[in-house]
Amino acid sequence: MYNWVLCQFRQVLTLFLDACNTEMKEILERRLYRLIQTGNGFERPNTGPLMDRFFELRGRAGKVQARLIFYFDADKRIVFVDAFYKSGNKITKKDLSKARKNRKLIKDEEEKANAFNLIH
Amino acid sequence: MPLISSIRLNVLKKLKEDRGYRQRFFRGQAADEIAISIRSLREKRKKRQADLAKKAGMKQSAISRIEQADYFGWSFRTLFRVADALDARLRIIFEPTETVIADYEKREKETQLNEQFTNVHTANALIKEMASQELPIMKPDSQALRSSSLSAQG
Repeated sequence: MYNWVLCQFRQVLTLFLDACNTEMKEILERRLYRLIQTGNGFERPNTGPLMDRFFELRGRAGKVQARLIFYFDADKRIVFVDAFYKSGNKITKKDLSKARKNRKLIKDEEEKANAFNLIH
Repeated sequence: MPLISSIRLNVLKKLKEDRGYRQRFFRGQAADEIAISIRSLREKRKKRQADLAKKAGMKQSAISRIEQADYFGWSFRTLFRVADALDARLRIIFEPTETVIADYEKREKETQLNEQFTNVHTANALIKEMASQELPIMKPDSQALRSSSLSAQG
């Protein structure tokens, strides 16, 4: 049984995968499939920890490198909040600003929903 | 539109139907496995890439390349040298496609069953909670029901 569930902020991952060329799409799909099986036990070099409890899933096709940014959430959810093609050597704080913003939006909405459940 | 949604990968379907996709998928998996195994065993042995390279009679850059998941240029000779240097057994298994697909199918079915089980339990818990709170939705208005059935008849 695959214990982990892949989730995404809006359509961030689906749209990125659809825009990738076939080679990159297949590499990323393969690693995503493994991620469902292994969850937080998935090892380097295909995934790696970043700052602020974010992780990256790596894909490389020739000289092009893709990065899918995710975090582990409750109920064994793996939530993807950003995806982009890597330009520099390292993922910087600036690269993670969108991921951070999207995670905040998710958390804010969950808090609102929890507050609503407590009232009703 | 919800902020967060689950993703379904249609990998199993493609593996079953597309032989080319299947071959690329399995080759990629093998490369991933080699990179992951070498790196994790090297870290377990508390060796740096340079240490391993020295022991295997290779360059550090060669070890770095093998540890990259997208590298396909290794040979059995190289892998045996790395295995010896790490004091490990190198094992090669040929798995028939039908066995791999059957295993994936079994896992996906179990996952779907588990999801349905969770959904049913969540729904049951929700119904019980609504019943305990005596929400109006659980108590249809008898007057309204009678008038609606009369209008349906008439």
